[in-house]
Amino acid sequence: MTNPDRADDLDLAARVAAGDEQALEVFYARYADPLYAFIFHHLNGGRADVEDVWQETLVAAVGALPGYRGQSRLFTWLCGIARHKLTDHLRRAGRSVSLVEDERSPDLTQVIDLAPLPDALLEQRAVRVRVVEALAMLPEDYRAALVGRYVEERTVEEVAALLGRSYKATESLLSRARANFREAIAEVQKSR
Amino acid sequence: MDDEKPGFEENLSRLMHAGLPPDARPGAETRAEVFRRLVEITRARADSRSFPDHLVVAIAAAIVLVAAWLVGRMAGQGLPAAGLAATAFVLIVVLNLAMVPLAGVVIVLRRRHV
Repeated sequence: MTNPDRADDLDLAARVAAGDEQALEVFYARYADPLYAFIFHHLNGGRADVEDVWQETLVAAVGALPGYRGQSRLFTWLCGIARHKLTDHLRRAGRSVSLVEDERSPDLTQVIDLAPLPDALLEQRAVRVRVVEALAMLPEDYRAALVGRYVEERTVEEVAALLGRSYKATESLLSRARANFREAIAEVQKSR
Repeated sequence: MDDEKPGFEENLSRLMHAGLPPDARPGAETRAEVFRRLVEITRARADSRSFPDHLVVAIAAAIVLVAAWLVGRMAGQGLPAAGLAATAFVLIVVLNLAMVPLAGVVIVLRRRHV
């Protein structure tokens, strides 16, 4: 599997902690948007709230990166910080603290081949968060290919142009990315 | 993939739309602004680390020498002759100074650990 593993995560965290700005760019490109989506689903929207918690989480995370020891994937570690910030935020707002982890969700590895997936399942916060977590585990080119093709609904030719690859190479990349996404979903599910 | 089932690609697309709806992404301006803030934090940390370890140790050592000299002078004069208030004052100063090398060692160890 070519996913960024914990050694990559440790190396990236150490470089950011040491003040390497290029590493910070990689860290930001890799994790900032998935983290935003993670927080968005927990708060059910509300842009100002999401932005506040997202910013607080990133600032706290960059400050705490020297303490990251690779005990979990970096994104999982970031989600842990986000959960604390979400809990603080909900308490401050006087809202009940109910995080997605408290909700039950179906085993996505079992239902991903069912056609079509029920709408009710896709509306579950827990399912949406699992998708975000799985996407964050993928290498950047896989994630870019999947987002381009399935979220932004570009054609394979357009994704190829976006990634600077040939049509055939992009088809092959998409195929590997889909397989990797399935594995990532299984890994996320297993970690629950 | 050859082992993909017929509905898989359609389901993948729907899952990804559910996970990444258009409003689940930060605005470009906010995104850039938060990144700038993180760069500032990273730079500030790098600046604090640029103060060399050997200088931290040298300053701490100099302070220890000053503290030792103060204690030596006080002992030479005899504690009763210095008066209680002056003795207490000097002891507090010496104790505070004695903490400085300890802090220096902690700073250096923490840096090495990171």
